[in-house]
Amino acid sequence: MRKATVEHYLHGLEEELRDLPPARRRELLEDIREHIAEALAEIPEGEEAEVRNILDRVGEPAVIAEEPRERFGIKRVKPGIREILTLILLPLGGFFWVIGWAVGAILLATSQVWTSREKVIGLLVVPGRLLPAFPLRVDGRQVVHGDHLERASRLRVVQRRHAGLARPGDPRRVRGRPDRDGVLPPDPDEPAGSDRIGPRPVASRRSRREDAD
Amino acid sequence: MRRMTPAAESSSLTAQLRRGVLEYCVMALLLKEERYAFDLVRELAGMDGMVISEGTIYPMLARMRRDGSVETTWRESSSGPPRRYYRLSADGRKALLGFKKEWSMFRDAVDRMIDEGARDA
Repeated sequence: MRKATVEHYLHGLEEELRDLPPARRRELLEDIREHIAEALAEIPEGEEAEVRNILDRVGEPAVIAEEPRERFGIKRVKPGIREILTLILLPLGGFFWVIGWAVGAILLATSQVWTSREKVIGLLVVPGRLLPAFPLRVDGRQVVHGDHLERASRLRVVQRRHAGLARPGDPRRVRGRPDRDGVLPPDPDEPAGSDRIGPRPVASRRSRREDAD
Repeated sequence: MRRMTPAAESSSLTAQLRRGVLEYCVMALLLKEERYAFDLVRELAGMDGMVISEGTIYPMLARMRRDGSVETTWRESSSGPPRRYYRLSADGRKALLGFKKEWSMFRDAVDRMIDEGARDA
């Protein structure tokens, strides 16, 4: 119980100190953690009121943070329109135009609300998750969610088609008959191992069927 | 600017005065013997008007460690967690002696002015 109270307090303090340089924040948190541990060693186990008293003497986290924040010249900045725009553009901007994401990234980088670490995470995680969808959307096709093997075999089919045929009805199109699963026999002109599974356009099952018709 | 109440004004004046001298008070406490952080902080916090709360002393102690006015060592304690002991460094000692001179000149000058002003009024 007393541990939870202390941890809650320290967590609140950490939040207040979040705009300090990380090393300074850690140092201060450690010092105050030591102080509380020392004070706790003096009181009998399980005295909740005593724990509260100790924390009161240590003081309000906001008050403790005041002086170092002032010294580091950090102003508390409230989130505004810039931050709202950033949060909209970063995850969604990539779907429509890359520029949307880029503007979001610039807004993020110049915002004073987030710490450098949060900015890096914001830049890495968001495109990492959502940008792979971007070329596919531009291609006008949907990603087929299925297991990787299935997708790989489908990819091979699609890539052959793209490499081998110019337009429907082209005589070059039918090199071999697709088997029941729609997989074409290997292309004799194509060296083995050239099947690349990469960010090539992926066709959905439906569009593949249409191609085959 | 917001107009402050006299009480808030005087406490912010104390805060400003304190900010300048607290470091030297810590050095003075360390002049005779080394002390561990908790002990040092409890003593400072026990003096009337010296600090707002115990926690507000730690940013200053961290700064003093970086400045090199104090040196610290960790020692095991029989009654609790390991303790960080603070000791005045040679630089700290020099700074404290300098401050002592400045402070008594400053204090005397302010006292004279306040007293003279009080006599005229």
